This record gives sequence, structure tokens and C-alpha cells, in this order.
Amino acid sequence: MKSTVIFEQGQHRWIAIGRDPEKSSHVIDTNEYVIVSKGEGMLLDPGGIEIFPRVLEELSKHIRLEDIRVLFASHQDPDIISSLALWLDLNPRATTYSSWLWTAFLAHFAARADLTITGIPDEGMTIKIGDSGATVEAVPAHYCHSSGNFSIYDHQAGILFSGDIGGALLPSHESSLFVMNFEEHVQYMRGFHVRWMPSTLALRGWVQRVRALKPTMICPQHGSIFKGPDVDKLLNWLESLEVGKWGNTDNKKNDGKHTAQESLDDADNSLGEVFTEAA
Amino acid sequence: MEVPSCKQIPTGSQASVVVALSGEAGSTVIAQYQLMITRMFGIAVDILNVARSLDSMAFEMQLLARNGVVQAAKVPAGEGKALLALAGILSSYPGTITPEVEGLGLQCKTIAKQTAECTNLARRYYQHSKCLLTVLNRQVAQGNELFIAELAALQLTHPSDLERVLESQMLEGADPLLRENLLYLGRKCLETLRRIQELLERSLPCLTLAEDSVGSIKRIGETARYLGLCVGIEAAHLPGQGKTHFANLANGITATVDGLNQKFQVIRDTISSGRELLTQLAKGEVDEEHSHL
Repeated sequence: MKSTVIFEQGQHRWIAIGRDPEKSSHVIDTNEYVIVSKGEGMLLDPGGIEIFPRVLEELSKHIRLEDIRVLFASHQDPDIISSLALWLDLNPRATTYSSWLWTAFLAHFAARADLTITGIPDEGMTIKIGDSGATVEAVPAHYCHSSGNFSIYDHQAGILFSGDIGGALLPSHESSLFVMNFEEHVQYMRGFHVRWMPSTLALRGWVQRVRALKPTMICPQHGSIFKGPDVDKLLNWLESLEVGKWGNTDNKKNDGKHTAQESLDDADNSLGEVFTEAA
Repeated sequence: MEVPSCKQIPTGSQASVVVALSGEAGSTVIAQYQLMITRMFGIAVDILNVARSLDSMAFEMQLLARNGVVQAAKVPAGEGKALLALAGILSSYPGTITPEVEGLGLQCKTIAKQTAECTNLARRYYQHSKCLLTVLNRQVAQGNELFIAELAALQLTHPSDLERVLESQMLEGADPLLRENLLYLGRKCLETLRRIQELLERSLPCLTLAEDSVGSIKRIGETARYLGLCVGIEAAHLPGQGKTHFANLANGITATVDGLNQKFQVIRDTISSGRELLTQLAKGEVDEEHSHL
């Protein structure tokens, strides 16, 4: 696994952790991000149990583990936050934030009687990173894809953590942390969005909110990071996309052992079938 | 700034290969330890299930004895007196088994609860210690053959091994932030492992108490068998149907006590393998044989 500082200004830094060559092919590749501000940290979508040791290994190079003050889960999926109990064991003082919709559900991951998860109201909120004074905004991203979903915007860094939005399932040879060629990259995003995102309306609403923020970088939880002109390209592409499409993939025999690449292929095939039906 | 991962660290020396291997081996040992704890939980549940089935056998014996009382009441006064007394004593036996069975159930529940907590802790310990070992091997050892050998010899299933890591001089050479985090992580691991050990050690006396309860129930069963035998002898003097009824009662009691004895043997065998496993776990010993579910 690799950790890369993607933004640094004074004592305010963003670190991206990902590209794990050791993970099993049945485990979807994820990016974890940490914001370190004046020595205090906020971990964005800490990831699943399976990758926890390697995320922790990378994280320990950048911040004192006991200084992780905030854990944020964009939504409730296992690849986002099933490692919650492991993080809280290390740092019981950390505050966990997620949509109010999921607080009682996430408690199942935590296995602690004294756990409190702070529910983010639907309209979003400002989250403080410990006592450092730094804050970030939880931006509503409901139904993109989860019904209770948030992105995180850091005004100081101009970076938006978008969760699954802008995510891509990259083949192993496409491991660049940043998008190098947007047009080429679209093929790895399309299936992911069309199948996993349920609502075109919700996605367009999110694009409008994000445009108003004018981020300089968009960091998804899967795939590569968008920066510079690629931010606008992504927003335009998302705005033009029809999502919530589903083919007849559920009629296919599924052995339940799909690799991430096979899931992507299925999503693409499903998209193809939708287009064929429309024609 | 890009922080290199282990894949990017130049890996020319043979030592680097050992680095990766020793990290993996250490994690495998902890995974086996975790599986052995899960197996111990299974054993506790097995004992609990057999203990619960004793309840139904005690009820069966009570029915037989009550039936004996009824039959004895039908026998003419003089001849049935002894039988009535025997059947009366018999019918009170299941009542004396009940507290013992409840005691056994309680011990089994305690063991199951403690090992369940251990299983949960062990799962977390595995993840935390895996990270600790990986960082030690990749970031700290980095070609230091002495430290690599030290790490390879460790079995992080006993607190003393973890203490050795935390006190190792080798950590002095590590990057200050990394060292601080390693010590922090190591202390957390130590805390978890000590808690696991404490729970395992507390389960051992519960097994002994469970075995004591089994012994008491067995003694009650054997007394019931003897009384059944007496009923059979007394009934031999009875004429006609009375003789048959009491012979059936005596046979019924013998069959029930035989059934109880079979279950006792199962519980004793399970307790014995549980004790062996717990003793091994409490010492932090891991073996291939016991790490299969």
C-alpha cells in the first residue's frame, strides 16, 4: 500500500492511502484519506477490516495514532467502515461521524457498549478536526449511492472527498493515483456509476452543490483523483449521465465469487443490455 | 512527497526476503491462536448443549419414579410398603439432580461467554498485531539481520514476547513518529492480549467446577440405579402384573441411568479436550492440530 501527500499548506495536509498490491482480488480496491491539521487527524472512509493493517501501517508514518480525532463514514458500506471497531480500539476518544440514517446500523460494526456515533443531519454540518480549529463541511450526497450519504469539503485545501461519486474500478495496470487521461478513464467509471448510483436526479443535485464549492481536487473512494481541468470534466460527465440502469444480470448464474474486475464487467454488460433494449 | 511502501524499498539483500517471510509467519501464528480460541468457544457450547439435554433425562426419571409410586399404591398394603418407600425415594432424585444440572449449565455459560469475548478480542488482536509485525519487519528491521532474527523468533501469543518487542533496543533507531506509533500500537496489543489471557485463565476453574457437577450428577444417577435394582428385587416376590410393572420400572431406571452415563462420558471427554486447549492457550502455545475448527 502506498501513501501520498496530495496537499500540504503549513500544518494542513491531505494524505491519500491506497493502491494495495497485497489485497485479495475479491476485495474491491479503495482509497483512504486522512486530513492532518496542526497534528490532529480526520480519517475519511477508513475502509474495511481486510485492509486495516495496511492502512494503519501507512497512516503511522504521517500522524500519531492517538491524535486521530475524527472518523468519517460517507455511508454504511463495509468497504467504507467495517474496520470501525479496530480504529476505536486504538483510539476510543475519536468521534465518529456519519449520516443520522446509519448511526444505529454502524454500531453493529463497532462492538462497543460506550460507542456514540454523531449523526449528520440531512442538510449537512460543519465538522471540527479535534481542537486544532480546522473544520470541514459535510456536503449532502444522498442517493449517491446510499440513501444517507455525505461528501466532505475542505475549504482550506479546496479538496472535495466524494465517496463513491467519481469512483472507478481500475484494472491493475491503471494504478495512477491521479487521472492522467479523463477520456480514457471514463470507461472505468461508467459501469460503476450506472449500476451503483440509483438516481440521476440526486446525482445532478450533487453536481450543482459541488460546482458552487469550486473544488480544485475531487477525491473518490475508488479509482483515481481528479484535479485541475479534470474536476470540471468529471462534473460535466456526471451531469450528463443517466444512472440507475439495470439489465438482466440477476438472471445470470452468480457463484458469489466475483472479482472487482468481474463486477465491473457485469456492470458494463448490464449497461450494454439497457442500451440494446432502448434501441 | 511520496512515502515509499515496502514494495518501493530496494530489496536487493537476502535479509529483505526474510523480512517479508517472518512478518507473514508471525501473522499465521496469531491467526492459528485466534482459531484455537474460536474452537474453545465451540467446546464450551458443546458442553452446554449436552448439559441441557441432562434436564430432559432427569424429567424422564421423575416420570418413571412417579409411575412407580402409583403402581406401589395399588399393591396390597403389606407387600407394597417397601416398594412404595423405594419409589418415593426415587421420585425425589430428579429433584436433587436439578441444582447440579443448573450449576453445570451456569459454568458452561460462563465459559462460553468468556471465550466468546476472547474470540472477539482475538479477532481485533490479530489485525492490530499483524500491522505491528508488518511495520516492524518492513520499516524498522530493514536489513538488520539481528532484529530480523529476533522478530522471527517471536510468537506474539504471549505478553512476554510483546514486552520484549516494546523494550527492544532496535526501536531506538526507528523514525521518531514511527517509533511512537509502534509503542502505542504495541501497548494496545499488550492490553488486548493480557485481557485475552485473563479471560482464558478465568475459564479454567469453570471447567473444573463443571467437571465436579458432572461427578455429582453421576453419583446421583448411580444411587438411582441401585434403588432401581432394589425395586426389581422387591418386585420379584409380587404376583402377576405387579411383578411385570415393577420389573419394567427397574429396567426403565437402568436404561435412563445408562443414557446419563453416556452423556457424562461425552461431557468428560469434551471437558478434557477443553482443558488441554485452554491450558495451551493460556501459555500462549499454538499448534497446527488445534487450530482447525
